Amino acid sequence: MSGYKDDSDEEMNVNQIEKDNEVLLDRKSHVQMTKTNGRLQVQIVTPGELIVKNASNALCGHGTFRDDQDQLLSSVCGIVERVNKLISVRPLRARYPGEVGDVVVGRITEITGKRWKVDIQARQDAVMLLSSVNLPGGVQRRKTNEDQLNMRSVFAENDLIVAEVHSRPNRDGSLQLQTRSSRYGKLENGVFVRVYAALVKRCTQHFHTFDFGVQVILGNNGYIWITKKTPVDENKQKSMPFYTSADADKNEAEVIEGKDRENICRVRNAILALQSQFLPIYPATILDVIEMSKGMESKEMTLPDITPLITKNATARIQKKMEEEDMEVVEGGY
Amino acid sequence: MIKISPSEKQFLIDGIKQNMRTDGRSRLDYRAFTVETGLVAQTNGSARVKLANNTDVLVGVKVEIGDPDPDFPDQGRLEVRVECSPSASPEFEGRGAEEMNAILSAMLRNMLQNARTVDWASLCISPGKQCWIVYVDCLVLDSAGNLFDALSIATKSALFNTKVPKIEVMETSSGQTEIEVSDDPSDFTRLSTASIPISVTLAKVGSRYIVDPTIEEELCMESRVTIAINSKGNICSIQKGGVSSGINPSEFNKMLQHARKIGLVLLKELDALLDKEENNDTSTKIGFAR
Amino acid sequence: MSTLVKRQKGRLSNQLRSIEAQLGLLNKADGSAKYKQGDSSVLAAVYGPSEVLPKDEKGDRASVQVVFKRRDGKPGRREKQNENIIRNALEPIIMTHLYPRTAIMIIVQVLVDDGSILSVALNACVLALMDAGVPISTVISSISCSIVVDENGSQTLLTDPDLSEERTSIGETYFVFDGHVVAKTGEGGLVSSVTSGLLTDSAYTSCLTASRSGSKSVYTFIRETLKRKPTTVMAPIENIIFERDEASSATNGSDFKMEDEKEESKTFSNVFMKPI
Repeated sequence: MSGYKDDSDEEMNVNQIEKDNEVLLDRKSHVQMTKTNGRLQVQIVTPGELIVKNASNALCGHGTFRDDQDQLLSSVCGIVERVNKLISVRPLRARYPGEVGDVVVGRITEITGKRWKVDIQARQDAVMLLSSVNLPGGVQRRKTNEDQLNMRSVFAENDLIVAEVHSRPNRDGSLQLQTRSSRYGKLENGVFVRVYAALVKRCTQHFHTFDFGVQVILGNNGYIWITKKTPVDENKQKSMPFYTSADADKNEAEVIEGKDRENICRVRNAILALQSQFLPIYPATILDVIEMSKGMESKEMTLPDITPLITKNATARIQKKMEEEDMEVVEGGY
Repeated sequence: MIKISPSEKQFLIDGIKQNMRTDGRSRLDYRAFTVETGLVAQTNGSARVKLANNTDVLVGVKVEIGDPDPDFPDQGRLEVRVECSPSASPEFEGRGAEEMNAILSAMLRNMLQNARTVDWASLCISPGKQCWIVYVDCLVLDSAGNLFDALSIATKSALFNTKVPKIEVMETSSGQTEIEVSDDPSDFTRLSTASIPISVTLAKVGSRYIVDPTIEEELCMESRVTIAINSKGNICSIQKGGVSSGINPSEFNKMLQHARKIGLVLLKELDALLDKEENNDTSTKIGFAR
Repeated sequence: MSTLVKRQKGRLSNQLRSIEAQLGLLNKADGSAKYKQGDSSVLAAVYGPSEVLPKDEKGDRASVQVVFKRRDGKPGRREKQNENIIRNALEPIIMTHLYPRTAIMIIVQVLVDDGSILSVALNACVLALMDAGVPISTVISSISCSIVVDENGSQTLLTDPDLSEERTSIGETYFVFDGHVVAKTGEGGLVSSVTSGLLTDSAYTSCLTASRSGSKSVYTFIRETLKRKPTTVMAPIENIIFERDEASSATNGSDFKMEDEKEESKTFSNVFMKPI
């Protein structure tokens, strides 16, 4: 049975797998693992499969449901995760579910009434109200009727923006976005990449700058923006990393060329290589791939025989990370 | 539906001008291809082409005996159909794909319907009465740009893979001709596909031309020219599409040269690949119809 | 009714054809699966839950739409019927109340029709839904059966008929079972049943029983396909072939031999040209 003392555990009767496997509840990563032949593997469940027999005290998270016998069953195919009493199943590939506070990159799909509708690879388009946006002029001011008519001049259809998921979702499940801070706003002069939302882990920082002059925004929703690093503006307190619509009026977008452009291509191909191998995408893994691809041209990184090679280091890093977490459990007592 | 903002478009166009596209390719670089043949049952020949793992096209060829075209009584007949499956994109559902299907079918038909591509005369059974009808059925399963070229390569491969059953034409006592089709799966003739061309599409973006556009690049293109090249380097057909801008005649010549160069390289690779497939084929297929 | 009769291609009358599946092969769809039973092959794609057209919008749940496309693409009455049959089987198990005002579109593209195409299509849809991460309450699977009459007038039951067998049958049945219920209790679990042609009561019951055991194999296959190889946290799960052991025993008899499929296509080497 499970290895550590936790009151809620006594009440729960965790489903035992086969007799020759040991069930461990890895507290740190909260992923349910099984030990088969001495190697730890994550446990994958399929829809309708039993997770917990007596679930009266458990909380049903995403991907689970309670049946009429009070058992907890899985509704998707994925990995079982547990945070104290909350049990959820994370599908291997799914639309972005959305969490408050997440940084996302989105594309404007529609302008209606006082709001923009934004595609963020979720089940429904997110909503961004006029009142949640910083208008040109910088300082907060009252929204006039003129603003409503000029919404298109701020963000037009098909524009890309970076925003934050704001408070609670709407009643119909769609999320609300805001671009209140100066680090959010319209994205220009760069490349957009789309990956599976599950591959972008939640971290403290989603705006990353690489040494070789490339900036990325890793949206939690799997939409990624790559551009050239802009120099910090000495006059302002915070750097203005991206052009807002106000700036666009003032100066022509700078044309990115030469080495900068090549580096952007490289980062893009590195991200796609990570996706093809189903590896998590964050700065360390992107750097791993770029390091390994130093000898070749960026266009070669997309070849199907090359991608496993350049992602080897990144894979090793992930394996090592998982093993480190495993080792804690094994040593910590069972 | 892939959408693109004006700023991304500009970035893309700048990149093409500088000869560095978003995936690092230069203007005349082609993406990696995979070709598989003979994988669809119930057809006389088939091929599947995957472009960079994202564009996926499946072509099946069936041959049947029927009436020849009255305008060409001593030749076989060709029927080409392209279907974009809604699995590639929900906008292909229902009538959404009709226009796309029509354009692609017409393009393929134009390329193949030529006396010099396939030896149509050899597919005539009895002049004016019976001939082989070659049904080419293309299915687009997934699209990430450059469907024209992918389809032409898949079609050539499928036709290469096609096995036409041997037939015996007999005169019966009443003077009528009877055709007996051989049941033996190893008794067949191949189509002569050496002269079948493949197409090379050049897309005009800004003031430059690129080969093998991705779907984002296709959104930025003003016009495209699809040039069919055969293994002798002859230009078999030229089709221009796209809404805006004409083409400068002086540029045109240069485009043809590039298309020819690229086409010849692609053809050589494809022929080598298909030969390899052939040799592998014979060893694995032993008595599939028991 | 005689059960263990040898069929044209060497199969026994209650033997299933070999099963193959491939997941996640389309890059735009939220989920996709290519599923093959023998030569019958279907590609299923799932888009959603996502934005819905106002006319299809349902206030309290997701709207499930099925599109069934034949190989030659010609729309017909039969295809509309198949769309309804598949939707009626899938809609109850999809947890639509979790996604009000959205649409879940399931597209079935027939690649090769060599019999039992409706069952093959349904199994492909279930795999595609799981690949897309759409929550479903259970795994369902489907098997078809036909009744054929031989020269003596005696009826034989054939599970998983191919096209030639379907054409000569006098009655056809298609059943969908709830995998969990069947696995646990060995009976019950019937979700959907569609028949055509002439069937006596006993013929129907025999078909039901035979299909049920056949569906158990499919269910096991579906489960195993998705549980394999979880080596990294995000494991790519694709290209698994299950070879059916030809000489296995009577009732449902599928032994699965798991193999990793090597990518058999040949790579077209890259063509790099000098820039102009």
